[in-house]
Amino acid sequence: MKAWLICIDDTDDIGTKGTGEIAEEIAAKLAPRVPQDARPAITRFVTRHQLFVHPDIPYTSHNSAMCFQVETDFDFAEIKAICIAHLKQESAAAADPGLAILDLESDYNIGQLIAFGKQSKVEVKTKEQAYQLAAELGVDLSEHGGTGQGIIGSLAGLGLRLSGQDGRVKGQLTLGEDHDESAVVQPSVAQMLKQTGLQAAISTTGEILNHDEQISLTGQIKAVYTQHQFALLVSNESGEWRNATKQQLKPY
Amino acid sequence: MQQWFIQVNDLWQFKFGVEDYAPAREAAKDCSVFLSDDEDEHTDNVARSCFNCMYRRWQPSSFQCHKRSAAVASTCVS
Repeated sequence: MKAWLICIDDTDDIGTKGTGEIAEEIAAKLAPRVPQDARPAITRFVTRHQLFVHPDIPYTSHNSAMCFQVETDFDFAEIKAICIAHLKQESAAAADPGLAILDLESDYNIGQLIAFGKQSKVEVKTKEQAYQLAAELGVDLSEHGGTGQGIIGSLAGLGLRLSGQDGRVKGQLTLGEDHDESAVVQPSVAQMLKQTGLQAAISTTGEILNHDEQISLTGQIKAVYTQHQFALLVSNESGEWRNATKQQLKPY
Repeated sequence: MQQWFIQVNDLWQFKFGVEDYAPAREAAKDCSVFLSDDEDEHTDNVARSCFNCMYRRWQPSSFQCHKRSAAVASTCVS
């Protein structure tokens, strides 16, 4: 089985299915979960990567790309065909979808890819720049409707995911079947990691919590990708570790 | 409407930037066409907030309300 990193961008429009949901659906088609596996492999978490917000960039409303890793027996041609078929089926008519596929076992310059991702958060990039870099690095980059402008974000999303320091994990985490988000629960870090499949609890200041520390969780429980780990983001409020608010999650 | 937005060309732009949550919540509470975006795109813990609305389009220092520009039957405009 080989590992691939896949990123899509600019597939939606107001009122249509979101790009993150489409990414999850593609991941499920490429690597279906076995019935006894209650949770997806953590590497398959879809991460959302915020890109540059600028008047010259024709995003719909927020300009973010969605990236995920899959381990699969499908070969490259099969993977690409599955991705394209799903994008064609689910993308909004007014969208400009882009698709980037990276063989993680290939010999590519990770530094250049990460640099492109970071630059795409602070400056306007062109399709030509994206295609040129993709050709140099051996990343498969393709457009699937409209202007195809989404290729820029899809390439950038690969780089940002590889940086290990960017992105919010799509969706919410649950702490078992009986989890009630209106209640406050206070597991240890170790218990939370076991229940969610995450790798760490990391504070908004970058501190990695010890496994025996207690955290106070309520509301929507969200994770981020930081320090190369899928982590619960927490903040210290009056001596108590609490899951991050939407406002605190925003910079990720 | 004009409490929270100014008209720039054909679009309504939020007056209070990207960090001032109270007016974004007030404006959404007063809006009959608020439509929640995907939860993953929310940036305000209070669900009904213009910051969480599908019709906002982020700009570098604020957002534009696209529902209003579309002039769809709306009771937001007061």
